[in-house]
Amino acid sequence: MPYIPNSDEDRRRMLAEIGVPDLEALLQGIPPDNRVQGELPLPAPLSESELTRHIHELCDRNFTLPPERCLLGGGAYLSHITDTARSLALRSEFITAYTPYQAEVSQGTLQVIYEFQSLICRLTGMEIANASLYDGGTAIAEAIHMAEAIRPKGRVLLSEGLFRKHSELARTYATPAGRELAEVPVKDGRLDLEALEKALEQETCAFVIQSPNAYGSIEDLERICGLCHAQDVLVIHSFDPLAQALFLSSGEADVDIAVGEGQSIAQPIQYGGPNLGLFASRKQWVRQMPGRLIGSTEDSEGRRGYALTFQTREQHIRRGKATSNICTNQALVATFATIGLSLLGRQGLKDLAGGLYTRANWLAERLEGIEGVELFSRRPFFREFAIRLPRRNEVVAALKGKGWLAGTQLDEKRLPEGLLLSVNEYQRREDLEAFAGDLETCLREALA
Amino acid sequence: MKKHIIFEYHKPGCGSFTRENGGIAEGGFEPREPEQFRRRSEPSLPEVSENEVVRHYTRLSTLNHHVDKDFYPLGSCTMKYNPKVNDALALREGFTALHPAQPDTDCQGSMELIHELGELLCRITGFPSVTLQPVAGSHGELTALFMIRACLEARGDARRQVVIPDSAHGTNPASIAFAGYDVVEVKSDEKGLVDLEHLKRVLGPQTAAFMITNPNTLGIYEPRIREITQLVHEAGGLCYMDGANLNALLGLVQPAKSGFDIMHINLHKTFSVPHGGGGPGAGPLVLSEELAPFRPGPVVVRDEQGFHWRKPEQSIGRVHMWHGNFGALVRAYVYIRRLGARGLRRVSENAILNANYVRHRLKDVYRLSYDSPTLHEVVFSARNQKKLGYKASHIAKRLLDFGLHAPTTYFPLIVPEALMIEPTESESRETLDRFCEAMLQIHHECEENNPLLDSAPNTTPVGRLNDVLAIKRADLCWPEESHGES
Amino acid sequence: MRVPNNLLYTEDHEWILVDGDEVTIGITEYAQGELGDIVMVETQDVGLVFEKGDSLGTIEAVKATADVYAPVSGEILEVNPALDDDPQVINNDPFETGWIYRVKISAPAELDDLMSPDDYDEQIAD
Repeated sequence: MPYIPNSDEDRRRMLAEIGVPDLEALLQGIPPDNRVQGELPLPAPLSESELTRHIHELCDRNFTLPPERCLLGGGAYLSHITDTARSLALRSEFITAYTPYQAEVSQGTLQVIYEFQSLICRLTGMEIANASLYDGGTAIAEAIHMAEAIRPKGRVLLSEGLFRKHSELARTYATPAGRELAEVPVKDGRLDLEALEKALEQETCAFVIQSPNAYGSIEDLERICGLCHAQDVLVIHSFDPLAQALFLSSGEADVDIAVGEGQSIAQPIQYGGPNLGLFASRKQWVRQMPGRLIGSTEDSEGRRGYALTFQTREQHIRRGKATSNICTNQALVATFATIGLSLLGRQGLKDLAGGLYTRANWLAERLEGIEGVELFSRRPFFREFAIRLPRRNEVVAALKGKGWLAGTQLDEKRLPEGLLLSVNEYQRREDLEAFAGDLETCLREALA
Repeated sequence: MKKHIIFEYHKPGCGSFTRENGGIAEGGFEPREPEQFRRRSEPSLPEVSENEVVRHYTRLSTLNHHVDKDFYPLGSCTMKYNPKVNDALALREGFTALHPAQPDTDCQGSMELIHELGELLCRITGFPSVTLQPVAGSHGELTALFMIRACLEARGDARRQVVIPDSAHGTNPASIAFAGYDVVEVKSDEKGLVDLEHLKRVLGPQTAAFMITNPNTLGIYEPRIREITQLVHEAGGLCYMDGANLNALLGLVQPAKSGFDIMHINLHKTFSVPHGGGGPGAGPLVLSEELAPFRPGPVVVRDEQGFHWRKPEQSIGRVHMWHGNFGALVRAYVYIRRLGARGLRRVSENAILNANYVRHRLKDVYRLSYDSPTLHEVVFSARNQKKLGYKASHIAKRLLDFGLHAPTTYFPLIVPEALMIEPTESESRETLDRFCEAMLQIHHECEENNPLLDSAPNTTPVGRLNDVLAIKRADLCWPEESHGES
Repeated sequence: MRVPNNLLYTEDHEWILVDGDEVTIGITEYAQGELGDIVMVETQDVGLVFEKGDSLGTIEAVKATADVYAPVSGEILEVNPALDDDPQVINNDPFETGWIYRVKISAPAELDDLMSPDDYDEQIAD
């Protein structure tokens, strides 16, 4: 039997030691009428080779293209995960450890996560960061919850420029708690600042802004913080970690809570999970933070070490009064991110982000030159941008026939015939040139 | 002096990333963008050569206790062996390269896996419906409470309270509060079971749900569980099972048959997904027909054409940006298919045997919290040792000196000086003996006031860490000044 | 475990020193031992008028927290100023310098409901 190290002889000896005749005697606590009769109706067990073959067959039923042929993004990005990061993060010592509650035998995980918190602080310019949340979406929901604990008044405003899935998620969390959410519109690809000013006239707890927004554009974060802070409203910034390398950081803009999706600096895309919820804030609100925090300390001989800290915020101690219900988080994904960012370094980070920026801008300019294509996003944008593409669905289907995953089709309500195009680091000029050429051809054929 | 933290390795120019713009020479970042959008300060990540990064993180990894190294008897956490084939198959490129925004027709393999895993979980637990979107146990709890609220509101019967036993995991009351309900606690009786009389008194027209772990956090199966679920239903509430201890029931009990409406399953406990130092896991929900229309959307449905994502009619909305922790779902699926029905039953039987073996070997020296029969875990109270001047925390720290991990301590809250031991089915008789002998020796050390107890742990990479200092310092981030270079 | 004879006690492990219509309130040696190292005490302000059973703040240790419940009704006259800088004074000296509030009581009859040292000693004996 796989994965069971005791033999029949072991079991016999153990039962004898306990003083019971058989295993059934150990199940006497379960009333007989609660017991399953016979066997569970499951498929027969598979050998490892049969299983491997079965999984390969499932993989074959997926359709994937090489990353240079893919322009999908919208919150999940094809990014190169180095073999170095993969081989280190996948060490048994990291994978098969539990949450580091016994600090003295968990210094590996604890220090890695302390380094992770430090790296996220440096990336975002924020003062403190936690040990991770589930994903960028739940991080927004947690940020709203935290904001309400800090400023328990008024409604919460969301920018219309949030990924639609993120605003949906925020609504799922807000509705049961009886929380009022309202949306501030986007005008021409960026937040309508006048509409924000007007919305702030009503009693408001917090404003959630995504930048780069769902159309790829960078928002005027500093101005938004100024407007909100003037009304004593907290700013929650939903960010892309790589964009922080080039554009005004959350901390520089004076954001109160910065949250983000870290998948693109950590993990392969994996059909959208596991992801990595990033969460950073001001030090003064450390006791309102959700999730685990690692701090430095000393051992009995004065040596530096690390431990989970401010644990009385958490569910296992504070129970119904905890700042969040989160327990299991995304520690291993954070480990990938820590090693990945350490391998990149400051220059590598800027180079990587700069490379994406250059590709996106080059492609946008090239596509703008095609008759019928209209660039919707406002500059600056980072790694993705939205266009209006006549006969969009037809053109996208035709491009698929030519071996392209040609971008994410935006919601009709938001941008009719809108297509979000996202570049990645595998793409070379030739690829983007070929894509633009194919798009031009397909569009001409569709319009003919 | 040996460098300690990654930031101390920083040397400008030593990073290994090679700049490339995909062959695009024109249009670099700096010159084009207005200043108000540009970052002003350096994103001061350390620049370290690849070889030094490898050494640093390899060294850190060796400081961890982990399941592949030795025994990890953390009660309630189910630190079992994580088969290597699970990881290998989850990382096949056909899975990892799939973008979640691709159309359904591109994703049939992954969707089939999600669909089939859902079906397997339903068959194991006896429920007719499932969602695999929640990514952790407490995420499952919260999602279920959202669904329960939606369901009751659809009945026209919104309610305010959720009832839990006093032995509940902390996530239960935290999820209840997060979902906007009031927590009502019901006492445990002298057998460690729900006090039925007290339960009857607290149930009423405001009861939205009752949440319970079964077997409970003491490892005891609630023998009157059907009566309990019936009482809750009669009061108009729904019954939630916290599936944290499902690993005791595989092939033995189907929770749906005990009258539950919904339960979460921790794939990272029962179904061998590695814990990863704290996550990621997955917390799917299995549930009744009545709750099915409220599931978070979308869910996979199958027809003649294949698999499709569909939003359930009265869906509460999303609880995750995409489809949950797909990588964790693959690992659990592989584990279940590898073991089949008999293999899964063997898992629970051996987990129960191992826990009872430990219980028997230690019960004369460590006081059993309750006499009732226990399944996959056992909770002792270190009261005998406390009288000798040593607390559960002393015993836990001293165990580390034996190369063993400590049990869960000080939980459940209803047991003073609790030591909660869950050996799992993965451990051999010899390992259990080694653990029991260490526990017996530690008791002996308590009797002779051995100073090693006060100084423990004595053999770990660092000694006992000062938790008060950690809070006083509030050092959660390596300071910029210490960077070596400004 | 010390249970000084000159004090009254509650089931929630508070002690009360009576001096006319003024009392001093703290937590017992047993309670501080159960909580472990105390890192913060959140107190209410001087002048607060409260009823018996009201929460008068929270004591936070590294891995536990406890509410301080008013053992009697009254008004806060003084909060121990030492708690801000050194909350561990409660661990080190719970019955003297680790006191929490000085209170003017409004319903002296409530003192009769408090536990005697002997009864409290019995409660914590097991």
